[in-house]
Amino acid sequence: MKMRLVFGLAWRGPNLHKPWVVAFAALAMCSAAALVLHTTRPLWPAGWLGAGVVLALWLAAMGVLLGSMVRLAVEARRLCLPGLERATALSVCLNALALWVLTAIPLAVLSAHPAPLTELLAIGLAAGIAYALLPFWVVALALLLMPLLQTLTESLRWRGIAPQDPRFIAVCVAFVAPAVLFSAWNWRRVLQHANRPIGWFSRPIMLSATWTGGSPTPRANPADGVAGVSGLQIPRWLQPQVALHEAGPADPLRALRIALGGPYSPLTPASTLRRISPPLGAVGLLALLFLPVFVHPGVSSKGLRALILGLPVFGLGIVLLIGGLTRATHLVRRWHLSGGELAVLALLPGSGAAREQAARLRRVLFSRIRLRQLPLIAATVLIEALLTPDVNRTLLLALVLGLVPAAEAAVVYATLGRVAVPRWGYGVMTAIGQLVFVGGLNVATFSVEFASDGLRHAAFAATLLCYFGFATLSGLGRRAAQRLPHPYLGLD
Amino acid sequence: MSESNCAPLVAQGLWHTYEEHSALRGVDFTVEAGSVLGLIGRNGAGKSTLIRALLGLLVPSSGCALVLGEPALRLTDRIKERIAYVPQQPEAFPWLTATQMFAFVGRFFPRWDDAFVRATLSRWDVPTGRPLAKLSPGERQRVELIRALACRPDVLVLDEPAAALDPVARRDLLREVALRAGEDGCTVLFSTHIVSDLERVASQIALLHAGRLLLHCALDDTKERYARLWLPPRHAAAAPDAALSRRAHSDGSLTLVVGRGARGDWPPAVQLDGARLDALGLEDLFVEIAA
Repeated sequence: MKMRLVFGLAWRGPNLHKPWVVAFAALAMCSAAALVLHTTRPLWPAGWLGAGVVLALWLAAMGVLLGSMVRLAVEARRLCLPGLERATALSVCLNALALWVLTAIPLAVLSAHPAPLTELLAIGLAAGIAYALLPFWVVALALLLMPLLQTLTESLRWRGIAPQDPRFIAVCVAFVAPAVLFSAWNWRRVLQHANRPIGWFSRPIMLSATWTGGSPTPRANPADGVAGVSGLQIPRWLQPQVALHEAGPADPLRALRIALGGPYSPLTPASTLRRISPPLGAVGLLALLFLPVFVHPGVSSKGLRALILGLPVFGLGIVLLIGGLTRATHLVRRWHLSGGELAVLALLPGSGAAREQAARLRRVLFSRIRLRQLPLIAATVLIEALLTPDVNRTLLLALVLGLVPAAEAAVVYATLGRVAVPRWGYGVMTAIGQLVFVGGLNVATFSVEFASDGLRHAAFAATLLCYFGFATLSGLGRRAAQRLPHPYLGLD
Repeated sequence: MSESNCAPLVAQGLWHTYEEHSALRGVDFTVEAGSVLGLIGRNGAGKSTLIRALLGLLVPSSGCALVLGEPALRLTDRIKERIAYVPQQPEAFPWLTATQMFAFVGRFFPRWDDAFVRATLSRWDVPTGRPLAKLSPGERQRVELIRALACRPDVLVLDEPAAALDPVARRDLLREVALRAGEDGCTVLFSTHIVSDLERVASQIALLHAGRLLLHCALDDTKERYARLWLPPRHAAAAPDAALSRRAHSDGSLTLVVGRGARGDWPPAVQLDGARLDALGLEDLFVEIAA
């Protein structure tokens, strides 16, 4: 096996159309940021740490790309090409090692703190690979438990060990070793399921994205099998029962909701009840699991208060995020199918003129934001305002929660306007959005002292930057959609 | 021009490009009313893109398409009631069962034929209680074909309709298509790369190769109008420019597919000493042009 080919495999896989350009553009930006942080150290003594964090984020992004190479390994398993399957795994390991070494060497030479920097980089890389490979439920659980752990460490006076602390090596090992082991275990698990569908809940996040493999004709998600709809991998009793009633030309809004399907479908009351019962049960179970934490004698009263007040608000925020992500993913996926509903909708009589159709489509797509997200946000902000009389905290929470409808609106407009957002673009947008959302939500809900000034300002600034990005995308999509002859034109 | 006099499907200078790949390169053609046109071409020749552009399901890079006299991208309800389309890989409404889908879609079409749906579902042995996503590709394709036929269209467009069907279902489909065209005067456009299907039902054929329409004529005329011309090396320079395909051999000889001119005569090169003109069957013609 030629090492040059094995190395290059990660850069020729189906993940990116122009991987080198993206990787080096990201490296250039991160290096510039690191250089600025490093050279301004007389002004900011902790600049070296900032530089390390920026480069660790770059490595995390590269880790996500490397982890998503599992798709190539899945294809190799399906095509019975064991050599390619082994080469893909080897390529991921070698590239991860090379990236870590190449990034760490200059920092170690230039910086007075080589050990913590290299440790930070290892954490970033391992986190990226794990994010791409771990099942959705593990990532969701980690997101849920992260603030809980943070509150506990604060409350139990296990103050966070700073990277310059010699004990940071233990933190690094404690994070990197399980992340690598779990990633390897999950790589094997995904390959074992190569020829049969994996339920969306236990599927790695990177396998949930629509995968076209660079082909102009999008294919169904490889993890979905013949069905092409992940929702149909769920048990029969949980499958949605659509309330057809008299939906047709007489009730065009309802008809459109049925045609769009998934999270837009009107369901029968019994089906709705069946579908909400598992999440309600999970909430009850979670409350029971957290009960011992509330009564733990080591938890200071301040920490307990923050936890009790923060948990419902944080939970509602996560529900909001999952709802928004589900709808956005469904919409983009359906708009990519050339043989899907769009062709039927475009040729369906009784739907009126193009302008009327576009207005109706926008009404249905935005009704979920209007009728579900905005009331949920209002209720969450109200709970927070009642529980903590801190205007800044409430304002940050409102802004952070508002990111979800803003992102969903951007995806809706971009999709309707057929704005050519590449797949990796949506990946970056989702990753940054999730980071800002979860981080901001964490700052706004769980911090005992509502975070330091710097962190709070950073959270506000990052949130506003995300709004700017989403507003730009919405504007582009909206203008492009107005120029289209009818709204049911897919993403070629 | 009244709607009834309009050609069912017209393409005018259609170009379409995906990123850097040109899928259609200036396609002009008209499907005549009541005809069954078989659109033939290799994989990736641009058949599906042409069909999608003809029906207004994509915005071509340039050119335009007309359906029953209306711009394809701005069809009115009156025209939509008269057309039906089955995509190559049907994936619509996977969350509905076949029964639910027919009940839902049928409400939009004034000429919806419920009796036909019931009879054909039973005849074609399609499971009606499972979500469409759980059907096999062949079953899914049958459901879509029933949907398209049940609205009693005047224009039926099928993109590789037989690709996922077994031989029995394929014969059933072709019989149904022939019946619709013969009895109801339905205009049918169907794409395929199975030449035998085409010979069974098509009255016209159009050959698309690398985004260009190389041939469009009545099926019965192909043998009369096109032939394979072999020219020995010494006459290679005299090969006609207007050949549909041209293949040079290692010994310097040439094989070309040539057609008759406007007055029905072959190109002068066929008279050259040593030149050989062979009649071509449809499959040979396709292979010669598209290889």
